[in-house]
Amino acid sequence: MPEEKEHGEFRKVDRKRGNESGFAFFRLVLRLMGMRHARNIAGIICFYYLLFDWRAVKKTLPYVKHAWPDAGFFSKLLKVYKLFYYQACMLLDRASNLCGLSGFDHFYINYDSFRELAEDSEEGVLLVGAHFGNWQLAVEGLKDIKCKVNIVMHEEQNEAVKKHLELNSRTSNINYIFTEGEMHGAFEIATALCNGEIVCMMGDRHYGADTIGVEFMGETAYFPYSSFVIAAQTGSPIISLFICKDWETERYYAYGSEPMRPVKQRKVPIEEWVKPWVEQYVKKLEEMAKKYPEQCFLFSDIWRKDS
Amino acid sequence: MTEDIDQIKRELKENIISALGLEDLSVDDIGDDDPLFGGELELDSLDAVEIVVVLQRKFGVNTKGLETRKEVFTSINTLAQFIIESRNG
Repeated sequence: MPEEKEHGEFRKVDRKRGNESGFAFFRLVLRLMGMRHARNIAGIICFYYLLFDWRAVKKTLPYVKHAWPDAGFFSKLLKVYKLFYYQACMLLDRASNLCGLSGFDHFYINYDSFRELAEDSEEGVLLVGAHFGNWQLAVEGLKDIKCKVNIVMHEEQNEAVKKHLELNSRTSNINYIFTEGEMHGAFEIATALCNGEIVCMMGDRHYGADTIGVEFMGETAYFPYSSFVIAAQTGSPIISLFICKDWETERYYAYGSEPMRPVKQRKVPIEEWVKPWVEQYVKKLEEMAKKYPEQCFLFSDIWRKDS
Repeated sequence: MTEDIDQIKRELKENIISALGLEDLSVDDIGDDDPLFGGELELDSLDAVEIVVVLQRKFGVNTKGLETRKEVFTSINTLAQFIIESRNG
């Protein structure tokens, strides 16, 4: 199993599930047999993971335990399976969109305030998302914005995805900022915001960044707070954005929040002044998780500080 | 030119102290060649954001492309040189 060095320690790295041949296989299935059959095949593969990939199941269980606290053992396993399956369906939607087989049928909620800020004002805007619904497909929706959009992400090790990202950067308004390295993309993020561009970050998983304890689903969970500090430093508004799917209509809904404007307080510890802003974001995330519990892909134990 | 660069260094130090809330330090406590990151100042990536904001908003220089020129953020001296370079176009 490959290993990489992180924070001075060696850790095991997950073998990537979606390799290039896997992507090619599903593209072919989508083209030849359509979405319904692709979903059936994905369902079988997800069942295989449920039976044989206990690491993945274990990572999913903390969320399942908090979302369905009264569920029994087998009911929890069924929820894990559903989470795997719905995420696979979201990835298929994205693949179908990238192949040009389907559009991104979506409906925005609170879009106007975001569009005005992004296109008509000179301020940079920070969009804070989560591993929720089809966050990958949200990137496609942002291509319509008349503004440069920067997606902050960890360096992609999956060659197939990497190729797609490179192509996306060359042919659209999308730019990727990778957080590897000493400064975690800080120069690029700050420059983009000062130049009035959009910066998208994830607000639900910390990947080693500093966190703050906030009440989430009945217990203290640990969320990264750097996006809120950056917003305060650059004077940029921050909007939370969640993309969910209504399975009946096969339509996506992009829920944007009203803009938040964190303000730095002098001589007050960061954790203290930033907390109410993180709480606002987490409250929205919890509302969405209650509304669409099977689209919350929090595959990490965020209720443990050292997760 | 010497006067200009000294003035810029002083303003840089004042702005960094104020932006980063380092009020227990004075301008004279920060040496022109002191390392900004990994040295006694112990600045981190969130402080780097603050320095970029200072460069853009207080000194009017565009920091686009600086991610590949990280040596600019080594010390007050290198930052001041960068500001002069940018202003001279």
